[in-house]
Amino acid sequence: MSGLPHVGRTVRVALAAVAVAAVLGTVVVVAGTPTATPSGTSTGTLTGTPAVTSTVTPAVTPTGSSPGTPTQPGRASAISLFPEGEVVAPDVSRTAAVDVSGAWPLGACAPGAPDRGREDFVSGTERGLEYTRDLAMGWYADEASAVIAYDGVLARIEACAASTGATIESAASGLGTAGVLTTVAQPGAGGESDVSIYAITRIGRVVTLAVDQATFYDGTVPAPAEATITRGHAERLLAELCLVDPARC
Amino acid sequence: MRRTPHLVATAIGLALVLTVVPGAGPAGAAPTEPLFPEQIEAYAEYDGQDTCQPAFKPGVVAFTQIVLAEYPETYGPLSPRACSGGTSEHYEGRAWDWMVDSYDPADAARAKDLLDWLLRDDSYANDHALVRRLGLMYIIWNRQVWRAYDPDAGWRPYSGPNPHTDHVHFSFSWDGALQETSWTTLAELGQRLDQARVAATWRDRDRLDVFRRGRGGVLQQSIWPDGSGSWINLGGQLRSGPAAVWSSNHRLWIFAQGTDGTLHQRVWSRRSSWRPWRSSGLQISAAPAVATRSGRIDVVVRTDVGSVAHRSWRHKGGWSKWDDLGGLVTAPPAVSWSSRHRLDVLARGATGQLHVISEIDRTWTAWGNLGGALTSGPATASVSPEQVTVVVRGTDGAVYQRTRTGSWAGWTGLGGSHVSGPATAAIRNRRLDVLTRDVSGGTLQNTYRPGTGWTGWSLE
Repeated sequence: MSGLPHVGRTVRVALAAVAVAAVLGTVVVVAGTPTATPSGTSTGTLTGTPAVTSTVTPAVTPTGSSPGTPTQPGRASAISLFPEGEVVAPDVSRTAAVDVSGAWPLGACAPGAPDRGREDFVSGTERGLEYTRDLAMGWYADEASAVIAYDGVLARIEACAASTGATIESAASGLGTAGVLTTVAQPGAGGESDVSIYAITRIGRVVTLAVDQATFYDGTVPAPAEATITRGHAERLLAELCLVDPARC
Repeated sequence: MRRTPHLVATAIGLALVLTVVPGAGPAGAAPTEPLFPEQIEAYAEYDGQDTCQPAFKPGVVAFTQIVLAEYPETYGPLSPRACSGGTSEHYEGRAWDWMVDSYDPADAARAKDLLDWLLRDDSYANDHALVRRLGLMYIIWNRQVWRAYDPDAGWRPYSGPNPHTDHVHFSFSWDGALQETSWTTLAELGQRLDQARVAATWRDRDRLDVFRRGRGGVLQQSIWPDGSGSWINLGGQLRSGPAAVWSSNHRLWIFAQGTDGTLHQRVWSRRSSWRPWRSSGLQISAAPAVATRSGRIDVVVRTDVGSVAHRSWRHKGGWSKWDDLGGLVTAPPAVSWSSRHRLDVLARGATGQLHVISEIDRTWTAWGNLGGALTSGPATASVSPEQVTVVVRGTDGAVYQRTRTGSWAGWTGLGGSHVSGPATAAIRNRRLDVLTRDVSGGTLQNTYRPGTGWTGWSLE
């Protein structure tokens, strides 16, 4: 795991502080000026990234937690979903939320049933010039629950593609205990294709998802093996996990 | 082959002079830009898509026409996109994808050519001039993005999943998309400076013929001093201001850009009066200039790729082929004979300075830089042997002159406030007249006489 990009320590500190205060609260990170809210406030700003505003909503009871499994607040909050230092322009917005009952970011696909045995969950969205990027990570009480969640995400992507007539192609990513790269292409009106690229990875009791959405032209829709940018974000999420939660690696 | 687009001190000897094929520019050359005044807008701010109205906006369509006309081997889809999620100016008809392949050397060269053109400074030293005039907000190409709202950063890595190696993405500001930037609003003004310029030529010491482009583009003539103030319509439809000269065989030659963009000529002679307009077939992009000496007529033009081209006419030989004198000029050029052996061509270069190239004993020199800050094309004439005077409109709207007698003297201001480039007419050893248009549409005249100097401006 050496040579991986530097991850957002400042973000982790800020988000961890919020999470500790709010226990299983929701953290929203958006570009803008820091503002305080009655229920909790982050401190500091992100170095090299847009300023951070963190608002914490009342805690949400984890719907999928196994009885008796202790939650570990702060683990998801400490994850830096997006790399620091890359955002310098007003054309990129980022949001992130820690919510154990959060939904996997599968775009227009119908939300699935709550995962069984989920302990923690963080997800976020980056909207940039001509693309949208969703990243998410979920912790599970046991490996069996993680396998079910992993398979469930894959199944929903496939069902969603089938229901819309989109072209779908998958290949092993070679990441984690199990990993798949999937491209789903929906033809547009002008010769272009609206493409979603999914990198789903399970490593032990943790499942990660990186989703890139952009427009490609016919003949240039990347095969899963060519989706190197999305795969790179999946790889970075695993590296981030190892920094925050080494026991999971 | 693309010519180097710099006028400054380019060593173009006669051996390097190229023949121009009328109507055909170098393949893949960047588009020709209109003649703009110095006024320019700020860089576009970031104003991302937040509505769904995917029909292409007129500024985007106009841009596609410029690009595809210049690079006909390429294409770019003009089908509106469905608003399918994410943020994209395509969903507001403010973006266009130009399909060029970064892995194809020819396409990569075309992309570089166009992007260099869009991002270069203009003749007034305005940074990234055409990006600003077109209202371009950002450009994505080959894993990099250029943002108008962060221009000092230059090209930066692009982190989106589509590397944009098979197309260049252009996103426009709303002003650019709706054609409310100076590409549209000031191109006309720049063209007016060119169109408003009069032409003047002495038939003899008692008659000065003055020509202008009148309302609707019609050619108009006024004969001075007797007919001052009255203008005769001579027909035609001119896109540029005219150029005029009386030749030694008592023919009056008129040249101008026609509405089809080509150089047209019309000749008057006592025997046949006015002959019909004739096109040379050469696409030009500004008013032409003409000079005569010893029965020879010399015409210089700004070509459709912005270089200077020259050809001459002799009674027994007719018209020569066009010679491309190179350079990148940004206003109508000027031409005059200063002696039997020396023809001078002057033009405003890409940085707004005055440049000169001369044919001496039938051999062209290299381009030289005479400095200055011009807001019009120059005009030039010779009033004394071995002497040539050039006049230009400066950044303050006044006229300035510079004279060469052996070597070039410094710039001298002639004052006034002028809304056209200047024109000149001279009678050897007697007088040199400078004519411009004032804001009321009238014609201003300033006369130099050897021994007594300039008279000052008077409104005719």
